[in-house]
Amino acid sequence: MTTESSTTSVWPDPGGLLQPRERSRVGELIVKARSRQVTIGSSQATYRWDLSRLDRVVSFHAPDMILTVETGLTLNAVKDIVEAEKLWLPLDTPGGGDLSLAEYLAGDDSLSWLSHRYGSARDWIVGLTALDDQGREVTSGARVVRNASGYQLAPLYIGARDGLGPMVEVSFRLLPLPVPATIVSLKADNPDQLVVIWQQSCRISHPSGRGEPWEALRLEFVNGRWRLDGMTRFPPEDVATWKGTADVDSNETIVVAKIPAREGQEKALKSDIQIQVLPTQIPELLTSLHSLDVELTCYPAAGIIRIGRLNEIQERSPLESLLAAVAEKGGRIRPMTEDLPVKLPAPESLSADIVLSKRVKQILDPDGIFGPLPVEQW
Amino acid sequence: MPIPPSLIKKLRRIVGRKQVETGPAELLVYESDGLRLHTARPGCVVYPASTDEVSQLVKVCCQAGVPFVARGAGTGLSGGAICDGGVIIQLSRMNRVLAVHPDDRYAVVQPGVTNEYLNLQTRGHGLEFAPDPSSGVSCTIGGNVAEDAGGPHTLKYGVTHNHVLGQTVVFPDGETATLGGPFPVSTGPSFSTFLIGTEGTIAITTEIIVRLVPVAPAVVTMLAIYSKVADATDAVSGILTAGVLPAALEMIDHLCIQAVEAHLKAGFPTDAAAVLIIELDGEETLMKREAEIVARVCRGQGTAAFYTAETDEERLRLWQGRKHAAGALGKITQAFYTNDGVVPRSRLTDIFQAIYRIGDKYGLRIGNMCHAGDGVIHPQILFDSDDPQGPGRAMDCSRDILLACLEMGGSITGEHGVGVEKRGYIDQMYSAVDLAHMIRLRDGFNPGGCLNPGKIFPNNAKDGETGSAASIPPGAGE
Amino acid sequence: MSGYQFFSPEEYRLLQECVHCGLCLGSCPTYMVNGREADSPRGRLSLMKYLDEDSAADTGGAYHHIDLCLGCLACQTACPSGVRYSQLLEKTRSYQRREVQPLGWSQRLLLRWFTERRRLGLITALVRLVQRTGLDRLVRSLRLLPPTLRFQLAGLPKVPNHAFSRAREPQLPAVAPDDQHQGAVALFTGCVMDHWYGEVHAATARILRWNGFDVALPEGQTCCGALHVHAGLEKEAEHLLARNRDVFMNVDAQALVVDAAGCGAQLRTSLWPDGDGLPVVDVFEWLATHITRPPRYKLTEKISYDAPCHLHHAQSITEEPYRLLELACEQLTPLPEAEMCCGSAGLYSLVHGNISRQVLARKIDYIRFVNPAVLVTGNPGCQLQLQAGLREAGIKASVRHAIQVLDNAYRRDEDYRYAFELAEDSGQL
Repeated sequence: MTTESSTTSVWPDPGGLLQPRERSRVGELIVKARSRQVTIGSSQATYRWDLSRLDRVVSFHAPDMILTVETGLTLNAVKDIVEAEKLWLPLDTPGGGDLSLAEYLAGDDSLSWLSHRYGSARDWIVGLTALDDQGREVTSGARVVRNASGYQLAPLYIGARDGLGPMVEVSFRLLPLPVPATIVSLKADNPDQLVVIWQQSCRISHPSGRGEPWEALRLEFVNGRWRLDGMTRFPPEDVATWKGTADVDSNETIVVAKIPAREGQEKALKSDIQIQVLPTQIPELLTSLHSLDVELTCYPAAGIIRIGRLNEIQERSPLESLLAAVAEKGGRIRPMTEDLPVKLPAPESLSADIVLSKRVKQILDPDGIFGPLPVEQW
Repeated sequence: MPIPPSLIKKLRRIVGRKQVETGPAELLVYESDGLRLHTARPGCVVYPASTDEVSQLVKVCCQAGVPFVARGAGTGLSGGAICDGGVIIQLSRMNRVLAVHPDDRYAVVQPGVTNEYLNLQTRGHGLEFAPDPSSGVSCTIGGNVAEDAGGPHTLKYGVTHNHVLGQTVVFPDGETATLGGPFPVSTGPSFSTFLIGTEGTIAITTEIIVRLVPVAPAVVTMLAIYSKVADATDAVSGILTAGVLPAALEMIDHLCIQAVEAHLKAGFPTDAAAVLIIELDGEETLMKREAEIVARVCRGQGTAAFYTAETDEERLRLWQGRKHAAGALGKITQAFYTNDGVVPRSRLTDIFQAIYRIGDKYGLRIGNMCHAGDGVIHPQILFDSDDPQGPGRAMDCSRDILLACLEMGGSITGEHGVGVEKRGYIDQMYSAVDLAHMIRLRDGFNPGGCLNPGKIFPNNAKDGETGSAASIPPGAGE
Repeated sequence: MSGYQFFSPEEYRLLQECVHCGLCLGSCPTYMVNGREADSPRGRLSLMKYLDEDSAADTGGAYHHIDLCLGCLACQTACPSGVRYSQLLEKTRSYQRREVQPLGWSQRLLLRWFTERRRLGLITALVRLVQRTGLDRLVRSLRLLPPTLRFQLAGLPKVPNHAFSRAREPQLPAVAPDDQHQGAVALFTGCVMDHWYGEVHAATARILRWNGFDVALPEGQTCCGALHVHAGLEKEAEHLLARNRDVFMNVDAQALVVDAAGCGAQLRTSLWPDGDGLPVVDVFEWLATHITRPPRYKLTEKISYDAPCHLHHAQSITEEPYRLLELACEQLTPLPEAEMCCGSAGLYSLVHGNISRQVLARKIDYIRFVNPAVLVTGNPGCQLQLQAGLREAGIKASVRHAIQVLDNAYRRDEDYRYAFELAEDSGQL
């Protein structure tokens, strides 16, 4: 259930969404929540935020290559704004770009086929405004590319699921929109051939054998076929040679297009589990997963594999033992949905980052006004 | 306040007698870092060799209520590495590269490793640590982490927090934590990333996992020479808006050119008003097009001459001239003072007008070199150290420049950090509520206030929320 | 403000050229091994200022750090302001020895004995005897001597039967076709080089003659005094310089060629205070511009060059050795941190054995990593130190002067061997 926040005397039922119409209302709601002793913020709080009405572009002067917006804007809206000025925000999300920045940043589902090269959301945020537990706006960072003043709050707030307070304004640094590039899409019967292409391409483009020719890169197993999707600034004739002798279905596989090819990302599989390992562990893991016949999306150079449609698999125990082996070797496994049909290996202990996040929570929100901090899942 | 002998005894027991220095000569050299205008003599210096020793050291210091600060090479420029009467925990002995994993592109290093040494160990694998502060031959990765260091090439590659994957830290109570990990990317709340740039006020970093990036297979370095500073600064905007992201885009003005050419001889024309160093890197074929765009923009912007470095030697000479320009000022002045204000990229021309105007107002000569592409300025304010008013005038002049940066929507520091130097201006940049929020965090992790007191925040800053005073011993860091 | 104790106003101004940027730290071998600011160039300059301004200062502590300086001058190369560190260091040390702490008797004795021809002859005879009878191994294994000395003994070359200059005519003619004669040069023979490393002088003379130079070996020359200056014995050094000045004043040659980096650095700055005498040149520098008959054949061994500080930093001769070695070697493999001191630094390795060995250890690590067959340098002290270090570490590489490597490449040419009556394989490498 949602409510119009200007009807100040009436609060929605517990579990409802608060949809403030203006920035100033966010703070007022926090003050009110405090006085009523209800929690407001994270998924386990009494009320949750929907900041989609805060959709102002606060400042955007293209030559500065900085965009400051309210967090009600969607990621796709932001991309439209900057691409119109021939700029680029190299972030994507497997969930599609139609969620608001506030949700996107609170959940930080920002790994994508760009991540091996362009990192995650926290690499592009230079300034952040959030609300503190008294309902006051606190800002850190600035609207410039470089800034070493004071503490940067963004790394603590991103992914904290609104448990430290809602983020209402964010400043991104931007890049020039890349030159026309090649979009690659290759199909194969097994992952090995595609892994070879990935590895060969790095070697060919770089004397040391460790180049990074891909702007974006993804391996997928969907509908019984393996495919490699990638974007690169190399011309198609160069890319054609990367295939080497690999036996892949190259029908209509290489096209010239402009980066970014957003539609490529949105097709990504909805995932149930995210596995994080080192890039060198990826080939072996893909081979193992191939034999299990699970649908997956892999960002090989980033060391990420996301598995989806788990409810469709027949036998669970091979996957469970594989996940246990991954965890044994130091890999990290993160559930992406609730009610997983498979059992995940229990982590030995919470990571230090999460323990410290909880300590940050105690310091910044001692009364727990923003609800519990549901970050265990990281 | 001298350090109690009982504490000295405890420190010696932890690290060994020889690794604690208390003699006047030994302490004298720790009076300042790269910024000489702020000096404070420590009470003693200790040289730990491991995370465990650091943990024990901070514990006994906290118990004794004696302030302490971690220090790397002391090349910082904001007085961040000084500690009045306290204990300096000097990390230079922790200078080993513990592991290099070329195929997974990361390395594990101790904080006392210099940027140069790390790259020496990784370049054989075709990889490097991207942040490249100008003092990279001497400055340490631990210092990079504390200040979130940048450098010329961060324009394309990002700053330290984009290149640190994890770290081991020691909190003031002696507790240690291993944050992040070796994975190439991560999401979610990151205490490790938060710590980067906190100037050692929350924890001491004792081990770092750094990302390594492939050394670009090809590099083109260009020099554009201008007879008007405004033409040069306009060209900077021109290049970026033309869709090219150079690896580095640097500017040096007339006075700094004089200093460089007096001894280093990088090959900058001494009659130029300003030069731009533009470096592109990447794949050779892809760079050609970008180089043409740069040349076109520079030529269109009233450049007097435009060169491309033909050899590696020429290229290195240009960079040596740029990176060592501040050090070279010793040739033309007894003393200078610099800051690292930031403006939005489009305001570069305006800030340079302001800098020269402010210099005239104070009757001081100001030379400039800057990371133009990032909007970071480094005005070098020359002054007479024999004149008792000299340092004060230079600092006033610097303050006016920083305030001008703020007026244009910038920041008071791009890469040197606030330290003791700029803590008086930080309230111009952030509101009292903003600062109180940050101080809450600091005091939450550093409750006794013994770790690195008197840095970043004004001395009288209070935690507005809880009403408890920010616990800074009187006189600390003055 | 000007100096109080020992710096002149000009020198005090030089001191102020240090802007405290710290770019020198990463180049300083002592700072790299112990991480102490007081043992960094920036720290030492601060201490010099402190000592100069305040005679009541706690001098012992401060002078200890001045003592620990190797004098490698890598900081001078690193310094963007061009601070003349060596001048300030020498001035401070000279004041220290004169007014504060006279040099220890053992160092004084060493300097006196090693640099005086006749006494050095006696020592050499003794070392020769010990080496020939195999006693040196016994001495080393019995641990009668302090460890530093034992270590150094291991690095000694096999001492030849005669000092180089004793067995020669004072004028050696060019060995080249008449139309390729290039005039005359003088060769500086010095003290330890002459007695212990005569083979280097011999190679230098051959190569110069092969390239059309008459080589003069003026009699009466003596030690260059470099070690005395480093130890703060200004007067003794001046005395030796005066004797050399007398010898070379009237020599008719184009240049005084020096093949020991330490001697070259000293003579270049101090032999002719007015700068108007016989030009002092390093052998690499001279050959780089005057070589007319490069070796016909190249050596195939893996060879790495470790730059002597007094060549690279004190004389800024950085490229020439590589250019010459490239003429002689097929596999010239760069050594990381080749321009960092090996820890020898004259008497330093004896006096501050501990630190000297730590500095050396870093070097040895790199050598083990690169694993050359021959390690090349250009100064007797470095040669001794590196050889001792390699022997101790069990690394097979031999240590040679770059000139010996060049000579060995020439030796592959029959004409060269015939001209100088040499065997093809000298066993040198």
